Amino acid sequence: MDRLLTELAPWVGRICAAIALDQGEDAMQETLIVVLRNLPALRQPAAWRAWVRRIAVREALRMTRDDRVVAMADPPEVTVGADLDTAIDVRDTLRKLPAGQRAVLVLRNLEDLSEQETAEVLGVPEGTVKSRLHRAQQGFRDHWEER
Amino acid sequence: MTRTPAAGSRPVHVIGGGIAGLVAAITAAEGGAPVILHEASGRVGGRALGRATWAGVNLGPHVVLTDGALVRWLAASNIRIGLRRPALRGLRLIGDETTGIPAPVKLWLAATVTAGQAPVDESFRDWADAVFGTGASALMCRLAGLFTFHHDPGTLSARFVWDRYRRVFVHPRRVRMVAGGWSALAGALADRAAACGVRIETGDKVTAATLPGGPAVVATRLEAASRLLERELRWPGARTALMDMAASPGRRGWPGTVIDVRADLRTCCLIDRITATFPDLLGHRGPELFQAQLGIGPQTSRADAAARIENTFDEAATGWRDRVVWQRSLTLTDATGALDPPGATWRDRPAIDQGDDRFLAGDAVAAPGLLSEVAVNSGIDAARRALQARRHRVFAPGWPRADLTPARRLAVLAAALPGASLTTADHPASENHPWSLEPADQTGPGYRLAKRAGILRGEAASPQPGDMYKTVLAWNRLPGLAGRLVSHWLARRWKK
Repeated sequence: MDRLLTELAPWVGRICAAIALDQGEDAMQETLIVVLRNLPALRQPAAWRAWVRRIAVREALRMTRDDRVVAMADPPEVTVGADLDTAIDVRDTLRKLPAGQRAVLVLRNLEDLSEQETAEVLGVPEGTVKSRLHRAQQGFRDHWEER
Repeated sequence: MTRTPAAGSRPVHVIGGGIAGLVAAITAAEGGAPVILHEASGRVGGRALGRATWAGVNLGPHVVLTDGALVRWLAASNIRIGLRRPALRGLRLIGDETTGIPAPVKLWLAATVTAGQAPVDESFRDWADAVFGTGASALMCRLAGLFTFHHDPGTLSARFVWDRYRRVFVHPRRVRMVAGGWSALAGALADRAAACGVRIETGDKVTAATLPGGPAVVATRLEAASRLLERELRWPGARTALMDMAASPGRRGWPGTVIDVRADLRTCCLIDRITATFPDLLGHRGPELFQAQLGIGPQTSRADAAARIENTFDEAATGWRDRVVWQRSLTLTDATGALDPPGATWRDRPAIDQGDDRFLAGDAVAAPGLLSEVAVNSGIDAARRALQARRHRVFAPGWPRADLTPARRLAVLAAALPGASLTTADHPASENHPWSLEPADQTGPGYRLAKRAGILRGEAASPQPGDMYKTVLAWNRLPGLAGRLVSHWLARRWKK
């Protein structure tokens, strides 16, 4: 169990943080709990990565909606030299996008999924993914340029 | 959409090629940065090289502990170093009526049963007097000379000495010697550094004026670092006399390890017969090698110190003078790591982050561990910070990421295990945290999980020094309410 956590944490942490931003750690924690609890019930062991990814995206999106959690969340991390700090810039740029668009960006760009696979993970039609991705990329570019 | 990294630019500079510098260079290079290591002398290795005619002869006796940062880091980095358990047969304590040596076994027992931590603010002597009585305390203070190299270890912080005392004496089986001496270790590190692309510039003395811009790890001695960064960086160290002696073999009864705790010393004089552990170190059937160390005060001359060490030799082996084939004696100042005085812990030493992307590494900076472990921990820490500083400036695609903190890891496990109990103990930063788990150890995971007889025990400490808390997980195999109650009870108990 512990070894599984060590293996999953970096990957899950990246998905969750990119979508849920400041609640990324909470989302990751929830994801891992669901994964560990339901591991024995997993019907298709071969597809476990897709299964974990689906849970991660779902939990991360849920976090961004859950106001209670937002109220409890830690203040955003501030590190030295914020003006030069691109990690924070990306975070800020992502913050300006709706969570749904962030999820599409993460799945297409970080996880390298096809539009069809992205649609399956999010449970939305492929057309929606296409338009959302377009808007997300447009939005990201705009916000990035105006930094 | 995101910018591509500007390839190859902005190297991480490492100044100083000792153990800390090499560890930092390897860590930074493996983290993906181009690394340039500047070494003022002609060879990397620093103090580990030993400055002797024979390879394998260290600057004094050196050991490592298998549960420490150095061994763990070497294993994790897949750097192979021969380690051998020292041959402790023939361990001899030289005492007199006043020291009256109680059996060492008794002292080890005392160390094991006293699980608590010692206070930071008291001196070790005052604390040990109260806890163990003056007789045992006096001997313990002297024995602390083994790992402090100080002329009066009883005056140091009780926490500092006691932590080290327990690590050495409670688990003596974890002590190892490095095959081929520390120069072999330095060689292996230099090989790895070269293999992962570190550019090593020897004979390259960096000064404050030529210190390159960009993230830099300053892994020199504090004295040199002060000059380089133009600020005062200081921490107490020890002054130590060393004597290395090679003597012709063939006579039975050479002593193995000799510890002289006679009453004229407030520390001990250690003589290690290195060839007891490595018989062929100076060639097959070659001479025997002895290495001795003695912590000395600021007033003691080198000749006096050498005389005192020879006096221990006289006591340990009669007639050794006729068989000497090589001998050297030297004194070292501040070469044996940081010593914390009462009221201070390692956190109070010169900080790793010196601002402006300058990071300190070495055995006298703010990092946990025993002796060389401080160098390893600070080397890793400094390199990671330098990597971060560099990444912030060079790479655009800084996607946010979340880390699974030790406390969250336990929370996940607790939620997934039916009947598990999880408690968190807050701890204000002002108090000294009494937990055995050291969250700042760079090679440790920051948490501990142990399963024994169907009971799972997990402990994690928050990694922030200003925000100390401990999370404890307890779980057992009993079903239903009974299991929950037992877990709850265990968690409450372990929290303390």
